[in-house]
Parts: sequence; structure tokens; C-alpha cells
Amino acid sequence: MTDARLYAATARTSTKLERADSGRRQTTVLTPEGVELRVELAERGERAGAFLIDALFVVGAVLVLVFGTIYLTRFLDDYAVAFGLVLFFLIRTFYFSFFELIWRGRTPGKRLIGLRVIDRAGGPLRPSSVVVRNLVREVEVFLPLSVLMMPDVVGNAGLVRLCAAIWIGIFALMPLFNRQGLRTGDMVAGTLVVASPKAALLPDLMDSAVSLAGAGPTLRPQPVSSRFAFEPQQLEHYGIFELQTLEAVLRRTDVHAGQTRREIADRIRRKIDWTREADWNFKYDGIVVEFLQAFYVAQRAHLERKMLFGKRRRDKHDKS
Amino acid sequence: MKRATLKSSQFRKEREASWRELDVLVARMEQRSAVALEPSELMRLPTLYRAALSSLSVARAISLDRSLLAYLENLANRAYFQIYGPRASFGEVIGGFFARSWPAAVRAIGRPILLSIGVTVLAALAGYWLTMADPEWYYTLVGDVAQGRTPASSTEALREVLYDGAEEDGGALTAFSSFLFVHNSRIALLCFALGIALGAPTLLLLASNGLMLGSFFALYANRGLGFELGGWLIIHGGTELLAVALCGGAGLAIADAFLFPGQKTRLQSLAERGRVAGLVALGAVVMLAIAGVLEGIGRQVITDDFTRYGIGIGMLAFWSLYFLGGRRELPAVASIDD
Repeated sequence: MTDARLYAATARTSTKLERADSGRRQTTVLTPEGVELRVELAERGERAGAFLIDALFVVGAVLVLVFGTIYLTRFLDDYAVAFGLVLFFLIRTFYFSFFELIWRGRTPGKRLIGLRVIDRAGGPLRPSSVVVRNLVREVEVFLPLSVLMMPDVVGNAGLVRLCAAIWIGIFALMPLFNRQGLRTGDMVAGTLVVASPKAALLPDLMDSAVSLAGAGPTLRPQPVSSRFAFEPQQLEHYGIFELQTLEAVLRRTDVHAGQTRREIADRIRRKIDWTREADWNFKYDGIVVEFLQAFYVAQRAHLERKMLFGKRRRDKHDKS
Repeated sequence: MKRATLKSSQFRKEREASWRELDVLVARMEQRSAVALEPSELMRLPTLYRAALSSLSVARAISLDRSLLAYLENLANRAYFQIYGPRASFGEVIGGFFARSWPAAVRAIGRPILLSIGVTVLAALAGYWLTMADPEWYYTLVGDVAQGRTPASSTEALREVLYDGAEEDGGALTAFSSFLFVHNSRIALLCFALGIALGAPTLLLLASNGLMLGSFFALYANRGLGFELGGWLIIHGGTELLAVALCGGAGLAIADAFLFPGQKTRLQSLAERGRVAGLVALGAVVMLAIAGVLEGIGRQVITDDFTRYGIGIGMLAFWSLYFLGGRRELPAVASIDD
């Protein structure tokens, strides 16, 4: 249903960061080779999730450390305490930096959620950036937390807590106040946290026919039906946005896809004055799919040919 | 329909094999690391990566296949992450840090560091002067943190603290050292990280540190124990105070980059200076570890004033040589730790 509505909708022209197919906001990074890569920004919630996982690991490691130290004091006396203290400091301060260095910008939490730290300017991620972004975390999170949880030893505890709350408001909530979701540490280190999803290379709709087997459509490497042919003027109605929405609909496999496809086929037939096939044929999903794919193939060939001549028709409202 | 001659389909057929090859290599690197690849595969990687980037550029120009574009975008991304992740191994990073990056970073932010040393020294002088004029100031500036040592203590008690500890056993001294190291490191790193709040908290921390020091010194100087306290402090304090000053300077450098970005945007300027400042702060942690050992063990075991002065001044000389003795010219800020 949404696809059908999208298909009719006007192209969005907003200055906000574009969204990727996954719904994440995306931004571009210029690689040293001079190619602009689109990267999907990590959602704030994903980052918070990754942080929570990492925090759990740190707490777990510290607990193991505490019990280990208590056990070792039996044999090593105060040396165990010395060792435990230093190790505690190292884990707490360098857990994030260590993993981001050896795993190319990922901590265990980021790895589980599928996030990664990259250089905002597109260059290599430098070790110093990794260290800096994680040292600043101390001020963003641990300092205000420890002030908030501090017993009332200072004179004006309420005022101190208020200050801590304002502090958290400014620094810990920084990712909420900028479009790229940078936290303070990212700003100082020049880094960006992105999602690293995997995409599979799907078959080309130009030469693998969509066929309906059982529940949903599958793609088979066989020629696309040539039963439907279109006149050039019938291909002048739509642009790239509509074409790619049609592609998404053809690749859909869910139970409502048939309904959506029928609606879209009706819409297209009305738009391009399709009269050659009688209406009753379009009650069958197989015919609808065949028609839509044939139209997709013809439309894409048409638009790509225009693109070779430098004309990119963005959507149906684009009259160029 | 002339769809057999469609350029984008033909393009895909020609290049698909090399994309899949890159995909397999990158997937293996993601699972493990660069060691997962054979040398010959490692040689192929840059070629395949560049081919994928060029495919992406071409595809953007000629193809309207959304799934293909998404796939290439993603493949180029993943390969880019692998190729431009931190390049060096952990060991190389540490080696390069001590050999080049750290002293170079210290020199690159020399002025904020001098400012932070200046603030500490001025505050120490003020603390000294105030407490000399009126010992009551000691209670305000130092308070009750110095193991019960106040103007009310007897001269004998004050002297005793300077030389006790020699009879403690090694375990307790080591524990004391590591406690000092951890405590001081946290303060120093805080001093650095607070630079993001435009430096004001950093300056406050530095000043209060200096005031305490000066006031404490005045307490001893009043009883004619100034020289002895000097030895007690400098054996570790030279290194420790320098480390705190470095962290403070690093914090001030961040504030400076944000407040006065010059020709660059604030974010750019922050990103460039921030990395350098972070290196300085990281190095200060190492200095504090050394200072912790000097304080926790060295000072307790060595009770001779002149040896204490010798070690303290020797350490300061070593740090000055290390930081300032390297290459004369300042490296470009951006090239540090490449």
C-alpha cells in the first residue's frame, strides 16, 4: 500500500539529510580516490544500544577483576591490589580505544549492532582520533554520572546536582542536537559513526524474469516476456523515482505485494492509455507481473538511453 | 525492444566477477583481519577496490538499477572501511607514539601548554604569598586533604611525614604507587577533557592545584622546612606537575581551536587540534605512571634530600630533552601520527 502511495506522491524536496532505503539518514564522505561514498549514519538509538552492550562488558570485566584481585591477595598480598587498581584503570579508560584500534573502528558492542567509526573527512581513521574520541567520553558520561551519584559531602548538593544535570544536557545529549548525530568526542576527534549493513547483489530485472511460484515471486534467469510492447510516447510519463519504486515493488515478496502490484498496474495503464489487452487479463497476478516487468524494462531502457545524452529525468514532475 | 544492447546490463555482466571477488575478500577481512588474506590476495585488494569505485562512478552515470547501485555503494563502503581503517598494528601504534607522535604533538601545542604551566605557577605563588601572610588561608586553600597536616601541627610532626614510609614493605608501597597513578591520571585526563567546556573548568582545576601547592609549601617554609619539602615534592612532583600541565595545555588547545578557528570551520579546526591534544593527554598518563612509582616507592625508600633533588631534577631534564630535543621544525598538525 505504501509503495502505491509513494508512487503517486510528489518527489520530496527537502534540505534535510537524505534517507537511505533502510530509513537511516545518510551523508557523503569523499574518499582519497575522489569518489563520493554515501554512508548511512548510525541511528542514535543504535549507538546507545552499542554503548550499553559495551558498558555491560566493562562492568563484567571489572567484576571479574575485583573478585580476581580479592582471590589473589591471599597469595600476593598488596601486590594484587596494586595490579588490580592499574588494570581497572586501563580497562575503564582504554576498553573502547583498544578495540577500535584492533578491529578497525569497532568495539564488541558496535560489532554486534553493526556500527563502525570512520574519519569524517574521508581519510584513514587515525589512531589518535580513536584515542581522543574515547577519552572525551569520560567527561560526557562518567564525570556527570559520578557527580549525580555522589553522596552529599559537598555543601550545596542540590546545586551541584543541578549543574551536573545541565552538564549532561549539553555534552551527553550532543548527538541529539546535530544532524550527523556527532557526540562531543566525535567533534573533537573528527570522526563519524556509521552503520555498516550488508547488501546482496540481486539479479538484474532486465534479464531475469519475475515468475510467480507458490507464495511469492522469484527471479529466474530467463528472458523477460516480450508479449507487451510500448510506444515511445508511452514511456514519457515517468522518471527515475517512479522507475526505482517500480523496481522495489517487483522485488517484493510479501503477501500484500500482489495487491500493490495490481493497483500500480492499473495506475500505469490509465496513465499511458494502455488499451491493447482486455481488462479481465489483469485480474491474474501472473499477467500483472509480466506487464509490470515489461514496462520496467522498456522504461529503464528509455531513461538510461536519455541519461547517456545527459538528460536525467528525476521524477514525473521533472519536465527536462 | 533493443534491450540486449542496454549499456547498464552489459556493464554489469562485464564487471560482476570482480565485484564478487572483492566481496569475498572483504567479507573475510571483516570476519577476522588483514591476516586472513594470502599475500597474493592482499596485492589484488587495492586494484579490486579501485575497480569497484570506478564501477560505482560509472553505474551512477549510466544505470538506474537501484539494487545494483545500492550493492556497489555498500561494497565500496565496506572495502573502504577495511582499507582506510587504522592502518598500523597495535604495537606499531605504540612504537610510533613514543618515537615521534607524542613529542611532536607536545611541540605542536606548545603555547597552550606554556599557558597552563604559567597559570599553575602564578596560582602557586599566590597561594604561597597568601598563606605566608596569614596561615589561616591554608584551611581555605588546602583544607583537610593533606593527611591532617595543618598550621596547628607541630614542626616535628610535619618533618616526620617527609621521611616516614621507609619501613613499609614492598607490597604496600606498590599498592600506594598504583593508587596514586590511577587517581592522578583521572584528574589529568579530566583536565584535558574539560577543555571541551571552552577551557574554563581546565583553568579552574589548574589554578586550584597551584593554590594548594603554594599554600602547602608556605606551611613548611614557615617552619624552616622549605628545602626538605622541596626534595619530598620534586622527586615525583616534577614529572607529575608537568604531566598535569600537559593535560591542561591539551584541554586549552581544544578550547582555543573551538573559540578561534581562524580560516577553518569550527568543526574542522576542532577535529585537527583535538587529535593532537589527545595524544598529549595520552602521553601524560604514561608520565603519571612513572610519577606514581617515584612517589609511591622512590620517595618512601629514598630519604636523602640531595638524592631526591637529584632524581627530580634529572627527570625534568630528561622530559625537556625528550620533548624539545627532537626535530626543530614543527610538523604540520595534520601529519602527526600518519
